Amino acid sequence: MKARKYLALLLAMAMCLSLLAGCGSSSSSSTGDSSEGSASSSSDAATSDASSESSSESESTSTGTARTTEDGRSKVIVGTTNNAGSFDPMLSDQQCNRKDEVFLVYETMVYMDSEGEYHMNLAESYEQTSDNSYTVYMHDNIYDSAGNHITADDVIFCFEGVKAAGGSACTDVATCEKVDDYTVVYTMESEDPVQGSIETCLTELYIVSQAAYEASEDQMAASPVGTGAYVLTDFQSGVSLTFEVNENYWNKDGERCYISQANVDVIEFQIIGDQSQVAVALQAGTIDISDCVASSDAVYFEEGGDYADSFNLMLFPKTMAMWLMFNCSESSALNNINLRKAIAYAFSTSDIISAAENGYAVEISSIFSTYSSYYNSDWDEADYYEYDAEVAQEYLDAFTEETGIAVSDLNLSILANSNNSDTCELLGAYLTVLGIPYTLNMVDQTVVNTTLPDETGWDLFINERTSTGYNLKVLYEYISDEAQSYGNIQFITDETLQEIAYDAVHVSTASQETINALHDYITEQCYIVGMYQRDKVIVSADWITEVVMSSGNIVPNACTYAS
Amino acid sequence: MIRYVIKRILLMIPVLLGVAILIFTIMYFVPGDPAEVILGSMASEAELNAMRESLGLNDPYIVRLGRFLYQTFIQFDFGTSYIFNTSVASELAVRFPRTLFFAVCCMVIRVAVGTPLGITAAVHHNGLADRICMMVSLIGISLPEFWVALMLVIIFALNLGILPVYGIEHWYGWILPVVAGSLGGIAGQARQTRSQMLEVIRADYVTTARAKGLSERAILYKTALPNGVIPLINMVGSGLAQSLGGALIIENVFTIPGMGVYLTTGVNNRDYPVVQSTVLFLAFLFSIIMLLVDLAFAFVDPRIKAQYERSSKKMKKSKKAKAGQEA
Repeated sequence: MKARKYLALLLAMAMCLSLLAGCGSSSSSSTGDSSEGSASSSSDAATSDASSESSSESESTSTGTARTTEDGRSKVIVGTTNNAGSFDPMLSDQQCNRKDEVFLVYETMVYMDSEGEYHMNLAESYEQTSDNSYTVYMHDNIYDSAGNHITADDVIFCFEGVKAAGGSACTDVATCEKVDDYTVVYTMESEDPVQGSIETCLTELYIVSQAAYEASEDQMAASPVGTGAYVLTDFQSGVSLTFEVNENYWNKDGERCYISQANVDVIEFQIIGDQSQVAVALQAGTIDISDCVASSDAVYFEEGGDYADSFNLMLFPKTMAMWLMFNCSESSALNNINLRKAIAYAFSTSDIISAAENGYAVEISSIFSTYSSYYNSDWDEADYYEYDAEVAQEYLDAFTEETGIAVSDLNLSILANSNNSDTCELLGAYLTVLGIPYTLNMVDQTVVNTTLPDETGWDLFINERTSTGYNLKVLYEYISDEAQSYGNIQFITDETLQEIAYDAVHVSTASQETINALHDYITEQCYIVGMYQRDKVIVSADWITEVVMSSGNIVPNACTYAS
Repeated sequence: MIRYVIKRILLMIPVLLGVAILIFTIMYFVPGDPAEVILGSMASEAELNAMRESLGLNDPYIVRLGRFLYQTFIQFDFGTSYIFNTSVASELAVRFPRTLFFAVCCMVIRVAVGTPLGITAAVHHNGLADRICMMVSLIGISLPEFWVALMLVIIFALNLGILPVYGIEHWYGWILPVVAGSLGGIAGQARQTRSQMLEVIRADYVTTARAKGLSERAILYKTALPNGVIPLINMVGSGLAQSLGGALIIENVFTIPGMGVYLTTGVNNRDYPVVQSTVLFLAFLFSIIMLLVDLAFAFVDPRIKAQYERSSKKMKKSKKAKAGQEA
């Protein structure tokens, strides 16, 4: 009997000791102020941190010198958890799980950077030629990597292909017609389209040669032929993608769009199945840069961390904004504005950031992300539902008085998924402090989409959405009554909201004033509360001297590398 | 014996049919819309309906089931992934060898390490060796696979730098995943072997063999082990089948693009062709493995082989007798 006790104790000690084997050394604790060291918002090209004056011993494995191939060409290995399934240009990026690696081989007419600025790419220029039509003028010297000349016929072919496949790029565009070999006219579905509709088409429609696409055996799924600055030379699904410089790039000697730079000869994306392995891969030198590092692993690369000397850590706010959305249908108690405001004042966003995001997020004061061209810095100065338990209680009392419903009789359902479970749990904790019973309904993303149209299926939902640049489509699709057959996603019946929203987002009336009015009204009615933007943790080897981001993703071909 | 094999193969057909109907029905009722996954949550109702129509999702249950069964069992077409638009069969053809290699390696290590461990424990029953072996197996069973995998990566890949962090491009890339994947199985194999051997070495025929003056080695490996190995064959077979279908964690940690990850991605994305075809394929593999296990029983245990032969001889005799009567 004694022997068994000692054995059990020994086993327990062994397990505890072995747990410590994976722990890192001490480093400065991550702060809630993630603006320190974050990328400058005025420029896409963010200069990475210089090596810190760490007092801890460095166990770096970075060599300090740039990586090269066996034949002396420059190379960079990017670690990603994103597994691109297909390069078929007719399918949407979302469907194929693609990120910016697709821009290495395909190009669009126009490209939008993270600041919301548009850059001409295949198009020389475009202009609005009537209320709902836009004329696009292409370059006349565009060739793909197989030598096919790209003309207006190819543009029309791609447009029709994407339309037929049901892709979202051309949803709001009715037709694409040829004017001459290098000019096309896009006509919108609506007489007064939503601001950003044409830009969505111009920035998301990949242009490939009809001849090349039809000659491809797999619709370019694994063998893309595009006009991009790189060529996909090796594609192992789920393992890696290797791109090499396109020696026949059509704009080789001209002024390139920054997304089409070629600062490195070979780019290899290695797919990493588990996010926790990304940091290990960086530390082991298997990869050189990644924007998929878990925030909990950032501590190893921060100032004072084990690997701070050999790596640069950059925090880059994601383009997505976290929204707290309320179900405003008759079936939900949140139909009452007092209850919504009580909840809005009941939680501390900064505390949620510290606890749920390890401090790696930036508070926002609007539903517009900081990447929206309409984001107004004045909003940061105004009162925007700062945590105040007393004010929350006042609104709660007002709710009880108005409706006669006791707080203890409520049971609010918080719809959560793996992307926001921590935040939802903390929100639930705040509701408990306020005395409001709640249920955490944890489902996967697919079920979220099925649950949202059910007005009895949820009360609160934290959503990560974006409206970047001048593109207001995403925002409008959430608040417009026209977006769904049952009205808008939050079941809001408010004609004033519809009128203000219409003026704010449509081309004929969109302006900073109308956007301000929309922000003010949504804030006043507390329909949606903008919480924060998560930071993306980007870690790069020290020989990558300048990291360039776009739409929250690394642009490895535009980064600067030490020779 | 051949008759038995053919009978088992024929019995697989209704089994696979049942599995196909079951998995189709489950996926039919699971909430989630593939059209929304494909087009995104912001797609309009019209677009979603058009996509559902093109995928045949608006058809009644029985029509869809019939189409699926016809496509799978008559045309042998596993369909195309809704999400990636690639052939499911070609993806499985690429992924299956990786998962199979991993499963076989794990099985070999399990047997090679677990069996001697169990025999040692049984032979030195209640002695120090027994306790050490059982402690090792207890640790192996208790440690979570995910944790073991990450610890191995930190120790061997990061700290020592002798093995890669992930990836299977080179042969040594398989070392860590196989070790991580087989630890739990070694423990189970050891415990089962010990239990079987303890039962067998107390049997009368072992006492007789000892009395005859055979060496302990001969008694152990020529008399006891063959009798104790039959349940172990079953365990090896089910372990192999489990590894084929349940290697998700190891595949995820070590970025092995195998069937586990493919199936899980399909489930998350409601990619019906991927899920249905992969599950059906796994059911087929399980059936084959169980058949091989049963054949191995017959090979190892003459009593079982005699039973099969007896039953086929009986059938032949009764047929002859009937023919004789009729004549």
